[in-house]
Amino acid sequence: MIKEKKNQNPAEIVKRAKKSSDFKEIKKNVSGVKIFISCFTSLIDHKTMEQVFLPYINECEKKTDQAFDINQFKNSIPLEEVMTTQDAKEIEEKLHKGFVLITFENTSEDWLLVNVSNLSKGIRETNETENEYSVTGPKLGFVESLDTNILLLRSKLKSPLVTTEELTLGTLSKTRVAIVYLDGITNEKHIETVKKRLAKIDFDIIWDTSALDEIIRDNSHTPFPLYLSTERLDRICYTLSLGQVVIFSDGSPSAISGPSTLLDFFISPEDYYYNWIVGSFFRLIRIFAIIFSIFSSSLYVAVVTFHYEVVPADLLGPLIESRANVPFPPVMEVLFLEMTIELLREAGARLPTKVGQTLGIVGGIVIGQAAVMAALTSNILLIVVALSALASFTTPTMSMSNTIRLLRFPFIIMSSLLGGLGIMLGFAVILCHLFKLKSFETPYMVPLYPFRRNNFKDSFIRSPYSVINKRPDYLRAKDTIKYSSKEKNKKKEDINDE
Amino acid sequence: MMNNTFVKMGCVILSLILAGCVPHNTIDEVSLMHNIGFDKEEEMLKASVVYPNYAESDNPALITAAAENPSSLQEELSHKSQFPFEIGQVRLLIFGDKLSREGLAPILDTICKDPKIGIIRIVITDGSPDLLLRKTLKESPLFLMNLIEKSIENEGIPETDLHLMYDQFFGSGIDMSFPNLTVDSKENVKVDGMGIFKDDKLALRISEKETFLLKLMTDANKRGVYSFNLNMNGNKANIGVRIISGKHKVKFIKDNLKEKVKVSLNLNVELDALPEWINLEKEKDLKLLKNALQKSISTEAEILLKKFQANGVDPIGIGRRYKANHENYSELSFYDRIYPGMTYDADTKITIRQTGVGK
Amino acid sequence: MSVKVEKQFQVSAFFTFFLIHSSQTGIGILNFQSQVIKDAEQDAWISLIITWVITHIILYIIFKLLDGETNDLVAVHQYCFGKTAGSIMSVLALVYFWLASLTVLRAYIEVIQIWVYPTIKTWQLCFIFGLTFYYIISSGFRSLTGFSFWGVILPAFLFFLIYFPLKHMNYINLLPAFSHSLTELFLSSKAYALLFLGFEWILMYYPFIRSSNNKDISKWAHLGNMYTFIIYLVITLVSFLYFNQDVLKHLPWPTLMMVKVVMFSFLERFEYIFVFIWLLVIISPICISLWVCTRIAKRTFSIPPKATLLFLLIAEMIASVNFREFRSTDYLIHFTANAGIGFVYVYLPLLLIIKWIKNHFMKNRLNKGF
Repeated sequence: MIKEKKNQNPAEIVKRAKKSSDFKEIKKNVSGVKIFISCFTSLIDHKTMEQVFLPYINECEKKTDQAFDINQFKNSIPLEEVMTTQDAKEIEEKLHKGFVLITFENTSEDWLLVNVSNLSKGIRETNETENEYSVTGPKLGFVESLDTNILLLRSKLKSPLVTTEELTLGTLSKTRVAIVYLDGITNEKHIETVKKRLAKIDFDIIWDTSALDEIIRDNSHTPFPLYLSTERLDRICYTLSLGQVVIFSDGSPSAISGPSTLLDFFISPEDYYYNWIVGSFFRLIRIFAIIFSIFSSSLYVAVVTFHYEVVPADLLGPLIESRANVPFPPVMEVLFLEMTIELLREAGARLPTKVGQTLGIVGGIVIGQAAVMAALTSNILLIVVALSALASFTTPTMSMSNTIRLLRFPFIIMSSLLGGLGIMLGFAVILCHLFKLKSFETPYMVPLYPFRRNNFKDSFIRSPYSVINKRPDYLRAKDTIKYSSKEKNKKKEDINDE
Repeated sequence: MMNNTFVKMGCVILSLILAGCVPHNTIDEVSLMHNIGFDKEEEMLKASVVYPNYAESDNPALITAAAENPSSLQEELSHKSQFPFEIGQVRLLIFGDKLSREGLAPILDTICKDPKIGIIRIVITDGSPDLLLRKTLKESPLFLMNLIEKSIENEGIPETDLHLMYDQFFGSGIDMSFPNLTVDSKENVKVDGMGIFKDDKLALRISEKETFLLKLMTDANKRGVYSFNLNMNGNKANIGVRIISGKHKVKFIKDNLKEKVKVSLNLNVELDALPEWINLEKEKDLKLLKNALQKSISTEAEILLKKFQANGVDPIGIGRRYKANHENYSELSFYDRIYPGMTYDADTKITIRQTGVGK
Repeated sequence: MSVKVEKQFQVSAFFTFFLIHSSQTGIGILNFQSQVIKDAEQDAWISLIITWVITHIILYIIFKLLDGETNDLVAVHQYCFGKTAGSIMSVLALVYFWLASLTVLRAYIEVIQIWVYPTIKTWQLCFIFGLTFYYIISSGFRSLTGFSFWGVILPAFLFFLIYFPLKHMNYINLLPAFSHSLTELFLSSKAYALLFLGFEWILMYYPFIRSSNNKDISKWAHLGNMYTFIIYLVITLVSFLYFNQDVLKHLPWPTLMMVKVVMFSFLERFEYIFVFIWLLVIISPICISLWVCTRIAKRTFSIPPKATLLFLLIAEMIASVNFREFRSTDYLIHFTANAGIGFVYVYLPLLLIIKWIKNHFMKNRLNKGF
């Protein structure tokens, strides 16, 4: 850990900086005063430097008639961000953010900082939400620049309620982290908790906003994501509008928002773009898919290893026939196939998109078919595992999708040890674990437990807009009504009004 | 803190694996019995088991074993097979003639109380179950189960399964009855009539037609074909009518100190093939046909009931109904004193629902 | 003397319904038929109503006991008997609660051994259950309440399975009705009493329920008891309609036998699934009673709950491994039932009388003092 020295001398800072090869210092003479202009050349915008700043200094050099006045000098610099300071720490920070430092020999204690930075260099401009794709709806995602992200957010939500608070985190990275909330809607308790948690952080580099999840979470030993991490603008706008707190950090294309609940992770923004019946249907399909994905392969293991009794007579034939030549116990067979699918997924994620697709087809079809032909697995299991893998990809958030893929393995092991009883025991433990989890001191399982009847309107199904006009209770928003639910243009009914 | 967690988790996983060594029953490493036939042979209990061989061929295999008691039968069977025999997928129990006459109690009290057994079908055969099962080896292993299921559903065979067996064997005021399987002259397996038991011993066999009449008086499902001789307008013919649904009711009437049992049947029938000389368009013909049918069913039902009475069996459960109406009922005294003196009266009401395509 | 529990550890009054109901439903529901049918035969459902009404009265007594300053059993004991004698009584209650937990666990292990894994060893099951229960109970009362809530909601769909036996019902089995004497009915009521045991644990977790007034909690508690009654009534009637009473005498686990008839095109032998889902149901009574034990230990002797829990769980495991003979579980159930009936239906009313006398006494003394 690096110890921050206190009460540094500005001169020492320059001395330390001079060790770096990209640090430059130029000596100039303005109105008879010697000035030193220094900066990290790699951080500055050369165009501004050469076309605006240096010509101005040269012009000043020529004007020798006036007496030097620091204030006048400062105000006449034709650049936006100019400041004077004596704080050594600030000087060091600003130098590393691409400011130009001007020091005056013997004239002034003040040091002048001019912003000619070019930090957006090398940062992509657009993000088409590739990882959280949706068919309908805006495909605008966050990028690596904090300012762009805030700009995107403010251009979507133009309300004056949107409030941002910034702080710097990370002993090495000095990352700018922004907390965004709706003033007057989001409960202060949440904002306070977020600030407290962030202030307590002692960490070297903030790699990504989603990494903050693990650092600020209430319970660090859990496979479940406790904060919704997303790169979608519309999703963040939605959570903000509900009264959640959003955290951005510079250099990360994702934002996290909390307090989140388990069900939040199964909501896709698309649910709100289709009409409510279709949206609800998709959501139910997704929740079914998740249950199926977690339990199907372990159920196969349990039934085939222990409970042959529950198989209906007509299904016995195909099941035994497909298992007959497989030399391994069912659990090995399942683990083998599950690992294959995990390998395909992991390899696909590391490879370029086009190669990844080919690999998926080759892996899926060829390996699967060959494994069945070589009697390494039964073809019924191949169907089960492939379907459950497919089902796990329906989860709209990446972090939850990973958790669900992980959860299958303990269940498979438990079912191979104790059959159906093992699955139920695993389920009981996970249920208990979920009851304990909290996200920003709000129970994770809301509205399932603690039971909130009202919040079921937008959980397993997506009710019509006129019904879900209130913010969920568990967020304790200060203003609970989102919009008035009155239907404005009520249609005349055929049967009554005509 | 972190180390502690890892140590804890390691302990849990290790102990789980230690404690989780439960013996497996992997589905392809057990021999699943589908049909079991029991019979007596030279004072030994003999079991013939049909088990499927899904892995190797579509046809099932048969294996037999003999032992002195039912519990050692399973072990005796397993001695002859590469995999242990498992009872959980049994679909059908067949009892041979000899065993049925000597008493089924040893089997019903043991094997049928095994929690591993599902709701299985139970039948008897008039020959040896071994022979019968051998005839089905060319068919699918579920052939007999499907045969019986279909017969119960559509062809006038009363419901028979484990639950009813419990009800009739352990319950008072009713006697057991099981459908009878037989091998006919052309070497085909068919369902033929029923066997009525007194306690656990076979006491009476009834014909196919009587079986259907019994079903009419006991089951909720009354589907089946009833045939009778029609003598009308000087013409004679044997006509079959399909009974689709109906209701039965058994009532007791005190009649001169004797108990009179009144059985009323309310049946909906479907006529399909009728001789040309019957014209249902005519009110008179319809009425005659209906009356003839009603009379035929009523008389035959009465005859059947009397036959049961004469043999001292009660498959309809008259004792049970009697108990429901009389508080101080005792099974022994009912069958000793009251049952033999009962008189019967059957009353049938027919509704003709539809005629076949012909008319 | 009253206990104050921090608000963040409390649950709302609404959950009393689930806590009461889930503590009552355990293993008894799987095999009560053969016990209750012994005396009242087909009229046993009348006995059920008698037990139910008495249970409501006891529940009322419990809320009277918890009224005022004494808001849990330990406080009541100390108020009535003084410090030492009160502690002894509390320890006796702890032993009974522990016994109740042991009974449910041992009976469930027996069900598993009979129905699913005939070859599994008792210690294996004990060990795995012990680990699970330790995790669940050490999560605290809020998680336990969550369990009792979801342990009621999730298995609720099992209730619809009564459709299958009802297809084969025979109303004759319930006739002749009202043909038994009061003595016979009361003897069956006693057999039913075992099914209702478990609600008395509210004596200890009462301070953990957040409510503006006592009435709200007692309303939900009575409703929970009512719901238990409805479930039992339906199961009683369905099993009587499905099985002849002579058959019920022969079957050790009639409810599971009844589930056998459930069949779907993709799934047969539903009793296997049923036994496993039943785990969710039995977790609540086992865990709540153990939690109550740890609470008593904490309140009387200030022993840290985790230590008590570990000790009690290990004791429970060792005890259940030692019930080897198959009759011994029956004896255990019988013994616990009698202890429970003694504690709930005899001791608690007596305790209330003692409390009243004491109240009266104290008031007189106060009056004299002034």
